Amino acid sequence: MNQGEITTEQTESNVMRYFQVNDQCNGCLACVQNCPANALRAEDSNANRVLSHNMARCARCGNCWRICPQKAIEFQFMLENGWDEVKSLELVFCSVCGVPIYTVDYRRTLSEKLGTQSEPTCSKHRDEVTRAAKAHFLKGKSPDIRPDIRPDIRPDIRPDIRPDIRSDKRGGAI
Amino acid sequence: MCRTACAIRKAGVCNPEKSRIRVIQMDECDRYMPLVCQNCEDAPCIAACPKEAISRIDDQVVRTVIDYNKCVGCKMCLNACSFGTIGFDEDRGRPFKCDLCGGDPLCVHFCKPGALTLKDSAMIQYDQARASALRRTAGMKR
Repeated sequence: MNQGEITTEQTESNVMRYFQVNDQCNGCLACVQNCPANALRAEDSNANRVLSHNMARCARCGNCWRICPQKAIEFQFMLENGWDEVKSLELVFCSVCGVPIYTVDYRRTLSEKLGTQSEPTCSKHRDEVTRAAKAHFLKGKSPDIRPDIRPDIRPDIRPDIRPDIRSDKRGGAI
Repeated sequence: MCRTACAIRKAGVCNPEKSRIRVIQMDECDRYMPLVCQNCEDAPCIAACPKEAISRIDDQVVRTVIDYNKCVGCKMCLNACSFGTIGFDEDRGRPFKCDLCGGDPLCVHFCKPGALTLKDSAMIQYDQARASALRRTAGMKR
């Protein structure tokens, strides 16, 4: 049947590693009879008997593996506590420090959403502001923030004179 | 101080890494610059969020906030932010950003030299104009 074929393909390509049946199986269907969760199914279609396993139903009880007379069910994969690689994507690295930040596909999603594409940088080196500020300070355009003037005596940020002027004369002075 | 105060109030830990405020050092001109969320009007983080978890609200102050019920922790907002002011809490698996403490930021109180103040963005231009006008009149009197 269709579903049986899919399961066989998956087992062959090692996609579903958890539940495997080796060549010892002779199709006695003792496992199907003894599965308490009805996670195993056998269908005779055309010239073949196809055994299928349903991962969602399987309770991982190991009953099939225990009773199989041929020792054909390889249940140990389920108990290994291993990891299966399901996806592998190309990384994008910070252009300043080289730490991996996201994947190429993530970058594509982001630029699609924002409509722009910027230099890949980690948040510590997101230095558009820093560069702007450096340019600003190095040009010496701001005499009011010279480090030798203490901020607490700068007239423009004195809290005692600010609020009333702000509330009364807004717009008029400009 | 501002970073520690922020981390304690917002994350409950004395760890400046969890602070919503960032201080960047500019070696060339020997200055430090504090950076917080700019609450952009056309915010890239809002555009980037696939779950519409980030929105602009206007209660005490206009600010951009993250709805943690909708957030899935994909870090789209972190990478969209051009200032790098959204941080990520690896323990909780969710991003964090400055929410201006609802209008009364703790960092402002803890900044010893008084370098931090909270101002309405519409007023900044006016304040700068006023400051430069004051300087000019001071020059004329002299």
